[in-house]
Amino acid sequence: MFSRGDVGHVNELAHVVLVLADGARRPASPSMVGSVEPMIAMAIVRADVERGTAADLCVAVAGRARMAQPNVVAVEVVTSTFDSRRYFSDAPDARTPLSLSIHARCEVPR
Amino acid sequence: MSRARAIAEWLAPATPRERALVARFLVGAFATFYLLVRLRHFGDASRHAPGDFVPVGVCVLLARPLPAIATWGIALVTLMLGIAFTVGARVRHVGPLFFAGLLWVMSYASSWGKILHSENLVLFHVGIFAVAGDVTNERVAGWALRAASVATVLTYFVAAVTKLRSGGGAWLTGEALGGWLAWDALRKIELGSFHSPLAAYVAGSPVLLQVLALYTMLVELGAPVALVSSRLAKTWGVLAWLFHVGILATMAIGFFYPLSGVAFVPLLPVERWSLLRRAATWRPRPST
Repeated sequence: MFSRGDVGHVNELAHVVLVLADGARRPASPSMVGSVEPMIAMAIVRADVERGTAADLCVAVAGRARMAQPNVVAVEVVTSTFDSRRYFSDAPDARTPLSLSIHARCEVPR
Repeated sequence: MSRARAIAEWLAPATPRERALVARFLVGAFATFYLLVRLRHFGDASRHAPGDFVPVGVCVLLARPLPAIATWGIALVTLMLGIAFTVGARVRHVGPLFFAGLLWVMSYASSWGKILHSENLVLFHVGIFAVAGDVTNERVAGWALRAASVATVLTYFVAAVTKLRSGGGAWLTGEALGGWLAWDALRKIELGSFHSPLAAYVAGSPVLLQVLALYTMLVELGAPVALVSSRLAKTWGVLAWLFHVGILATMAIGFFYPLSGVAFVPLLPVERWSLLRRAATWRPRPST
Protein backbone atom coordinates (compact mmCIF):
# COMPACT_ATOMS: atom_id res chain seq x y z
CA MET A 1 0.00 0.00 0.00
CA PHE A 2 1.12 3.56 -0.68
CA SER A 3 2.49 4.93 2.57
CA ARG A 4 4.45 7.90 1.42
CA GLY A 5 3.87 11.63 1.46
CA ASP A 6 2.39 13.88 -1.17
CA VAL A 7 4.25 13.20 -4.45
CA GLY A 8 3.15 16.57 -5.91
CA HIS A 9 2.59 17.06 -9.65
CA VAL A 10 6.09 17.69 -11.09
CA ASN A 11 8.36 14.64 -11.03
CA GLU A 12 11.34 13.09 -12.77
CA LEU A 13 11.24 9.68 -14.41
CA ALA A 14 14.16 7.67 -15.79
CA HIS A 15 12.87 5.61 -18.72
CA VAL A 16 13.72 4.18 -22.12
CA VAL A 17 12.35 5.54 -25.40
CA LEU A 18 12.23 3.79 -28.78
CA VAL A 19 12.77 6.06 -31.80
CA LEU A 20 10.88 4.81 -34.86
CA ALA A 21 11.84 5.19 -38.54
CA ASP A 22 9.30 8.00 -39.02
CA GLY A 23 10.74 9.92 -36.06
CA ALA A 24 7.94 8.99 -33.67
CA ARG A 25 8.95 8.11 -30.09
CA ARG A 26 7.42 5.24 -28.13
CA PRO A 27 8.11 3.93 -24.63
CA ALA A 28 10.10 0.70 -24.42
CA SER A 29 8.01 -1.99 -22.73
CA PRO A 30 9.10 -3.20 -19.27
CA SER A 31 10.09 -6.60 -20.71
CA MET A 32 12.41 -4.90 -23.21
CA VAL A 33 14.07 -3.13 -20.27
CA GLY A 34 14.49 -6.35 -18.31
CA SER A 35 11.37 -7.21 -16.31
CA VAL A 36 7.67 -7.69 -16.98
CA GLU A 37 7.02 -5.66 -13.81
CA PRO A 38 6.93 -1.92 -14.66
CA MET A 39 8.19 -0.85 -11.23
CA ILE A 40 11.14 -3.25 -11.44
CA ALA A 41 11.87 -2.01 -14.97
CA MET A 42 11.82 1.54 -13.61
CA ALA A 43 14.28 0.54 -10.86
CA ILE A 44 16.59 -1.04 -13.48
CA VAL A 45 16.68 2.17 -15.56
CA ARG A 46 17.19 4.37 -12.49
CA ALA A 47 20.04 2.15 -11.25
CA ASP A 48 21.80 2.24 -14.64
CA VAL A 49 21.46 6.02 -14.87
CA GLU A 50 22.79 6.50 -11.32
CA ARG A 51 25.66 4.07 -11.91
CA GLY A 52 26.65 5.65 -15.22
CA THR A 53 25.93 2.44 -17.18
CA ALA A 54 23.02 3.77 -19.25
CA ALA A 55 24.96 2.98 -22.45
CA ASP A 56 25.04 -0.73 -21.54
CA LEU A 57 21.30 -0.74 -20.89
CA CYS A 58 20.74 1.09 -24.18
CA VAL A 59 22.60 -1.61 -26.13
CA ALA A 60 20.70 -4.39 -24.32
CA VAL A 61 17.31 -2.77 -25.08
CA ALA A 62 18.36 -2.13 -28.70
CA GLY A 63 19.10 -5.85 -29.10
CA ARG A 64 15.67 -6.82 -27.75
CA ALA A 65 13.92 -4.08 -29.77
CA ARG A 66 15.50 -5.34 -33.00
CA MET A 67 13.78 -8.70 -32.48
CA ALA A 68 10.44 -7.30 -31.27
CA GLN A 69 9.85 -4.18 -33.40
CA PRO A 70 11.33 -3.97 -36.93
CA ASN A 71 10.65 -0.22 -37.35
CA VAL A 72 12.76 0.90 -34.37
CA VAL A 73 15.91 2.73 -35.51
CA ALA A 74 17.32 3.96 -32.20
CA VAL A 75 16.98 3.68 -28.44
CA GLU A 76 17.43 6.44 -25.87
CA VAL A 77 17.84 6.15 -22.09
CA VAL A 78 16.46 9.42 -20.72
CA THR A 79 15.31 11.24 -17.62
CA SER A 80 12.18 13.29 -18.25
CA THR A 81 10.46 15.80 -16.00
CA PHE A 82 6.69 15.65 -16.29
CA ASP A 83 3.83 17.71 -14.91
CA SER A 84 1.13 15.14 -14.18
CA ARG A 85 -1.66 17.76 -14.12
CA ARG A 86 -0.71 19.02 -17.57
CA TYR A 87 -0.05 15.47 -18.84
CA PHE A 88 -3.72 14.52 -18.57
CA SER A 89 -5.05 17.87 -19.80
CA ASP A 90 -6.39 18.58 -23.30
CA ALA A 91 -3.35 20.70 -24.25
CA PRO A 92 -1.90 19.62 -27.65
CA ASP A 93 1.59 19.09 -26.21
CA ALA A 94 0.32 17.81 -22.84
CA ARG A 95 2.56 14.73 -22.86
CA THR A 96 5.74 16.53 -23.84
CA PRO A 97 8.19 16.51 -20.90
CA LEU A 98 9.00 19.83 -19.24
CA SER A 99 12.66 18.87 -19.63
CA LEU A 100 14.58 15.93 -21.04
CA SER A 101 18.07 14.67 -20.36
CA ILE A 102 19.48 11.98 -22.68
CA HIS A 103 21.94 9.66 -20.87
CA ALA A 104 22.58 7.32 -23.78
CA ARG A 105 21.53 6.89 -27.41
CA CYS A 106 22.30 3.89 -29.57
CA GLU A 107 21.31 2.80 -33.04
CA VAL A 108 19.43 -0.46 -33.51
CA PRO A 109 21.62 -2.84 -35.54
CA ARG A 110 20.08 -4.07 -38.81
CA MET B 1 -10.85 -12.79 36.13
CA SER B 2 -7.45 -11.18 36.72
CA ARG B 3 -6.09 -8.72 34.15
CA ALA B 4 -3.22 -11.06 33.24
CA ARG B 5 -5.62 -13.91 32.68
CA ALA B 6 -7.91 -11.69 30.61
CA ILE B 7 -4.96 -10.70 28.42
CA ALA B 8 -3.90 -14.34 28.06
CA GLU B 9 -7.47 -15.27 27.16
CA TRP B 10 -7.55 -12.55 24.48
CA LEU B 11 -4.20 -13.58 23.05
CA ALA B 12 -5.07 -17.29 22.90
CA PRO B 13 -8.85 -17.72 22.98
CA ALA B 14 -10.27 -21.22 22.73
CA THR B 15 -11.07 -21.43 19.02
CA PRO B 16 -12.27 -24.36 16.88
CA ARG B 17 -9.21 -26.21 15.63
CA GLU B 18 -10.83 -26.60 12.20
CA ARG B 19 -10.84 -22.80 11.79
CA ALA B 20 -7.05 -22.66 12.05
CA LEU B 21 -6.68 -25.67 9.73
CA VAL B 22 -8.88 -24.04 7.09
CA ALA B 23 -6.96 -20.74 7.45
CA ARG B 24 -3.63 -22.58 7.14
CA PHE B 25 -4.90 -24.45 4.08
CA LEU B 26 -5.99 -21.22 2.35
CA VAL B 27 -2.83 -19.29 3.28
CA GLY B 28 -0.66 -22.21 2.10
CA ALA B 29 -2.67 -22.60 -1.12
CA PHE B 30 -2.37 -18.89 -1.89
CA ALA B 31 1.37 -18.75 -1.17
CA THR B 32 2.04 -21.85 -3.26
CA PHE B 33 -0.11 -20.66 -6.17
CA TYR B 34 1.54 -17.22 -6.04
CA LEU B 35 4.95 -18.88 -6.13
CA LEU B 36 3.90 -21.12 -9.04
CA VAL B 37 2.45 -18.28 -11.14
CA ARG B 38 5.55 -16.12 -10.55
CA LEU B 39 8.05 -18.99 -10.63
CA ARG B 40 10.12 -17.40 -13.40
CA HIS B 41 10.22 -14.11 -11.48
CA PHE B 42 11.45 -15.92 -8.36
CA GLY B 43 13.69 -18.48 -10.03
CA ASP B 44 15.32 -16.57 -12.87
CA ALA B 45 17.38 -13.49 -11.99
CA SER B 46 19.42 -13.63 -15.21
CA ARG B 47 17.56 -10.60 -16.64
CA HIS B 48 19.27 -8.43 -14.02
CA ALA B 49 22.80 -7.06 -14.29
CA PRO B 50 24.95 -8.29 -11.35
CA GLY B 51 25.60 -4.64 -10.52
CA ASP B 52 21.88 -4.16 -9.78
CA PHE B 53 22.08 -6.61 -6.86
CA VAL B 54 21.21 -4.79 -3.62
CA PRO B 55 20.56 -7.58 -1.11
CA VAL B 56 17.74 -7.02 1.39
CA GLY B 57 16.48 -8.99 4.40
CA VAL B 58 18.05 -12.41 4.85
CA CYS B 59 19.88 -11.98 1.53
CA VAL B 60 22.30 -9.48 3.10
CA LEU B 61 24.33 -12.64 3.79
CA LEU B 62 25.21 -12.68 0.08
CA ALA B 63 28.10 -10.67 -1.35
CA ARG B 64 27.10 -11.38 -4.95
CA PRO B 65 24.14 -12.91 -6.84
CA LEU B 66 23.67 -16.68 -6.79
CA PRO B 67 24.08 -18.80 -9.93
CA ALA B 68 20.88 -19.63 -11.83
CA ILE B 69 20.98 -23.31 -10.78
CA ALA B 70 20.77 -22.22 -7.12
CA THR B 71 17.95 -19.68 -7.58
CA TRP B 72 15.88 -22.13 -9.66
CA GLY B 73 16.64 -24.95 -7.24
CA ILE B 74 15.57 -22.98 -4.16
CA ALA B 75 12.40 -21.75 -5.88
CA LEU B 76 11.42 -25.28 -7.00
CA VAL B 77 12.12 -26.86 -3.61
CA THR B 78 10.10 -24.10 -1.94
CA LEU B 79 7.24 -24.81 -4.34
CA MET B 80 7.29 -28.51 -3.37
CA LEU B 81 7.35 -27.56 0.33
CA GLY B 82 4.40 -25.23 -0.29
CA ILE B 83 2.35 -28.08 -1.73
CA ALA B 84 3.19 -30.28 1.28
CA PHE B 85 2.39 -27.44 3.72
CA THR B 86 -0.96 -26.78 2.03
CA VAL B 87 -2.10 -30.39 2.24
CA GLY B 88 -0.89 -30.59 5.85
CA ALA B 89 1.86 -33.19 5.34
CA ARG B 90 4.40 -33.25 8.20
CA VAL B 91 3.61 -29.61 8.96
CA ARG B 92 5.84 -29.46 12.04
CA HIS B 93 8.90 -29.95 9.84
CA VAL B 94 7.63 -28.77 6.46
CA GLY B 95 6.12 -25.53 7.81
CA PRO B 96 9.35 -23.90 9.03
CA LEU B 97 11.20 -25.08 5.90
CA PHE B 98 8.50 -23.63 3.63
CA PHE B 99 8.58 -20.36 5.57
CA ALA B 100 12.39 -20.22 5.31
CA GLY B 101 12.25 -20.96 1.57
CA LEU B 102 9.55 -18.38 0.93
CA LEU B 103 11.40 -15.77 3.02
CA TRP B 104 14.53 -16.44 0.98
CA VAL B 105 12.99 -16.36 -2.52
CA MET B 106 10.89 -13.26 -1.77
CA SER B 107 13.86 -11.44 -0.22
CA TYR B 108 16.08 -12.45 -3.16
CA ALA B 109 13.49 -11.24 -5.71
CA SER B 110 13.30 -7.93 -3.81
CA SER B 111 17.10 -7.54 -3.91
CA TRP B 112 17.18 -5.90 -7.34
CA GLY B 113 16.13 -2.35 -6.45
CA LYS B 114 12.39 -2.82 -5.93
CA ILE B 115 11.02 -4.21 -2.66
CA LEU B 116 7.52 -5.69 -2.98
CA HIS B 117 6.07 -4.85 0.44
CA SER B 118 2.77 -6.39 -0.60
CA GLU B 119 4.35 -9.84 -0.12
CA ASN B 120 5.06 -9.26 3.58
CA LEU B 121 1.63 -10.21 4.92
CA VAL B 122 1.41 -13.61 3.25
CA LEU B 123 4.91 -14.31 4.55
CA PHE B 124 3.89 -13.36 8.10
CA HIS B 125 0.86 -15.63 7.87
CA VAL B 126 2.88 -18.59 6.58
CA GLY B 127 5.36 -18.02 9.41
CA ILE B 128 2.64 -17.98 12.06
CA PHE B 129 0.99 -21.17 10.81
CA ALA B 130 4.41 -22.80 10.45
CA VAL B 131 5.07 -22.12 14.15
CA ALA B 132 1.59 -23.38 15.06
CA GLY B 133 2.58 -26.74 13.52
CA ASP B 134 -0.11 -29.41 13.76
CA VAL B 135 -2.51 -27.09 15.68
CA THR B 136 -2.85 -29.67 18.42
CA ASN B 137 -5.64 -27.98 20.39
CA GLU B 138 -8.05 -25.05 20.62
CA ARG B 139 -5.53 -22.80 22.38
CA VAL B 140 -2.93 -23.24 19.64
CA ALA B 141 -5.66 -22.52 17.08
CA GLY B 142 -6.62 -19.44 19.09
CA TRP B 143 -3.17 -17.85 19.32
CA ALA B 144 -2.30 -18.64 15.70
CA LEU B 145 -5.47 -17.02 14.38
CA ARG B 146 -5.12 -14.09 16.78
CA ALA B 147 -1.52 -13.48 15.71
CA ALA B 148 -2.45 -13.73 12.02
CA SER B 149 -5.39 -11.35 12.58
CA VAL B 150 -3.17 -8.81 14.35
CA ALA B 151 -0.68 -9.04 11.47
CA THR B 152 -3.43 -8.29 8.94
CA VAL B 153 -4.77 -5.37 10.96
CA LEU B 154 -1.32 -3.91 11.58
CA THR B 155 -0.40 -3.80 7.89
CA TYR B 156 -3.31 -1.42 7.30
CA PHE B 157 -2.94 0.59 10.50
CA VAL B 158 0.80 1.13 10.02
CA ALA B 159 0.17 2.21 6.40
CA ALA B 160 -2.28 4.87 7.63
CA VAL B 161 0.03 6.14 10.35
CA THR B 162 2.91 6.36 7.86
CA LYS B 163 0.72 8.22 5.37
CA LEU B 164 -0.29 10.78 8.01
CA ARG B 165 3.26 11.16 9.31
CA SER B 166 4.75 11.71 5.85
CA GLY B 167 1.90 13.47 4.05
CA GLY B 168 -0.11 14.95 6.90
CA GLY B 169 -3.32 16.69 5.93
CA ALA B 170 -2.75 16.09 2.20
CA TRP B 171 -3.86 12.49 2.75
CA LEU B 172 -7.10 13.70 4.37
CA THR B 173 -8.01 16.25 1.70
CA GLY B 174 -7.40 13.91 -1.23
CA GLU B 175 -4.54 16.03 -2.59
CA ALA B 176 -1.90 13.34 -1.94
CA LEU B 177 -4.13 10.61 -3.36
CA GLY B 178 -4.72 12.67 -6.51
CA GLY B 179 -1.00 13.26 -6.90
CA TRP B 180 -0.24 9.55 -6.60
CA LEU B 181 -3.06 8.47 -8.94
CA ALA B 182 -1.88 10.84 -11.69
CA TRP B 183 1.83 10.12 -11.21
CA ASP B 184 1.32 6.35 -11.11
CA ALA B 185 -0.70 6.41 -14.35
CA LEU B 186 1.79 8.76 -16.02
CA ARG B 187 4.84 6.68 -15.22
CA LYS B 188 3.10 3.47 -16.32
CA ILE B 189 2.28 5.06 -19.69
CA GLU B 190 5.88 6.25 -20.12
CA LEU B 191 7.20 2.85 -19.01
CA GLY B 192 5.11 1.20 -21.73
CA SER B 193 2.87 -0.61 -19.25
CA PHE B 194 -0.85 -0.94 -18.64
CA HIS B 195 -2.54 1.85 -16.66
CA SER B 196 -6.07 2.41 -15.45
CA PRO B 197 -8.19 4.53 -17.81
CA LEU B 198 -10.06 5.76 -14.71
CA ALA B 199 -6.93 7.30 -13.11
CA ALA B 200 -6.97 10.63 -14.98
CA TYR B 201 -10.71 11.10 -14.41
CA VAL B 202 -10.52 10.38 -10.67
CA ALA B 203 -7.35 12.45 -10.23
CA GLY B 204 -9.15 15.39 -11.82
CA SER B 205 -12.17 15.24 -9.51
CA PRO B 206 -11.58 16.89 -6.10
CA VAL B 207 -14.90 15.56 -4.78
CA LEU B 208 -14.11 11.95 -5.70
CA LEU B 209 -10.58 12.30 -4.32
CA GLN B 210 -11.91 13.65 -1.03
CA VAL B 211 -14.37 10.75 -0.69
CA LEU B 212 -11.77 8.11 -1.61
CA ALA B 213 -9.15 9.63 0.70
CA LEU B 214 -11.54 9.54 3.66
CA TYR B 215 -12.55 5.98 2.77
CA THR B 216 -8.86 4.99 2.67
CA MET B 217 -8.31 6.47 6.13
CA LEU B 218 -11.50 4.82 7.43
CA VAL B 219 -10.31 1.38 6.30
CA GLU B 220 -6.67 1.76 7.35
CA LEU B 221 -6.99 3.68 10.61
CA GLY B 222 -10.13 1.75 11.51
CA ALA B 223 -8.51 -1.67 10.98
CA PRO B 224 -8.12 -2.43 14.73
CA VAL B 225 -11.93 -2.59 15.15
CA ALA B 226 -11.72 -5.92 13.32
CA LEU B 227 -10.17 -7.37 16.48
CA VAL B 228 -13.12 -6.34 18.65
CA SER B 229 -15.83 -8.74 17.47
CA SER B 230 -16.65 -11.21 14.72
CA ARG B 231 -19.34 -8.93 13.30
CA LEU B 232 -16.98 -5.94 13.11
CA ALA B 233 -14.32 -8.19 11.56
CA LYS B 234 -16.71 -9.19 8.77
CA THR B 235 -17.78 -5.60 8.14
CA TRP B 236 -14.20 -4.31 8.10
CA GLY B 237 -13.10 -7.22 5.89
CA VAL B 238 -15.72 -6.29 3.26
CA LEU B 239 -14.73 -2.59 3.41
CA ALA B 240 -11.03 -3.47 3.09
CA TRP B 241 -11.70 -5.81 0.17
CA LEU B 242 -13.66 -3.05 -1.61
CA PHE B 243 -10.74 -0.70 -0.92
CA HIS B 244 -8.48 -3.05 -2.90
CA VAL B 245 -11.04 -3.36 -5.70
CA GLY B 246 -10.94 0.45 -5.88
CA ILE B 247 -7.13 0.44 -6.07
CA LEU B 248 -7.27 -2.12 -8.87
CA ALA B 249 -9.85 -0.06 -10.77
CA THR B 250 -8.16 3.33 -10.41
CA MET B 251 -4.46 2.41 -10.34
CA ALA B 252 -4.34 -1.00 -12.05
CA ILE B 253 -2.44 -2.32 -9.03
CA GLY B 254 -3.50 -5.78 -7.93
CA PHE B 255 -2.80 -6.56 -4.29
CA PHE B 256 -3.65 -10.19 -4.89
CA TYR B 257 -3.51 -11.47 -1.31
CA PRO B 258 -6.26 -9.17 0.00
CA LEU B 259 -8.11 -9.28 -3.33
CA SER B 260 -8.28 -13.08 -3.05
CA GLY B 261 -9.84 -12.63 0.41
CA VAL B 262 -7.26 -14.92 2.03
CA ALA B 263 -5.61 -12.00 3.89
CA PHE B 264 -8.84 -11.64 5.91
CA VAL B 265 -9.45 -15.36 6.53
CA PRO B 266 -7.85 -15.39 10.05
CA LEU B 267 -10.57 -12.93 11.14
CA LEU B 268 -13.48 -15.04 9.91
CA PRO B 269 -15.25 -18.28 10.97
CA VAL B 270 -14.17 -20.01 7.77
CA GLU B 271 -14.63 -23.51 9.20
CA ARG B 272 -18.39 -23.06 8.71
CA TRP B 273 -17.92 -23.64 4.96
CA SER B 274 -18.08 -27.41 4.85
CA LEU B 275 -16.24 -27.70 1.53
CA LEU B 276 -13.27 -25.76 2.91
CA ARG B 277 -13.35 -27.71 6.18
CA ARG B 278 -13.33 -31.02 4.31
CA ALA B 279 -10.50 -29.85 2.02
CA ALA B 280 -8.39 -28.64 4.94
CA THR B 281 -8.84 -31.76 7.07
CA TRP B 282 -8.83 -34.35 4.28
CA ARG B 283 -6.37 -37.20 4.72
CA PRO B 284 -5.96 -40.26 2.50
CA ARG B 285 -7.43 -43.40 4.07
CA PRO B 286 -4.76 -45.87 5.14
CA SER B 287 -4.76 -48.92 2.90
CA THR B 288 -6.06 -52.09 4.55
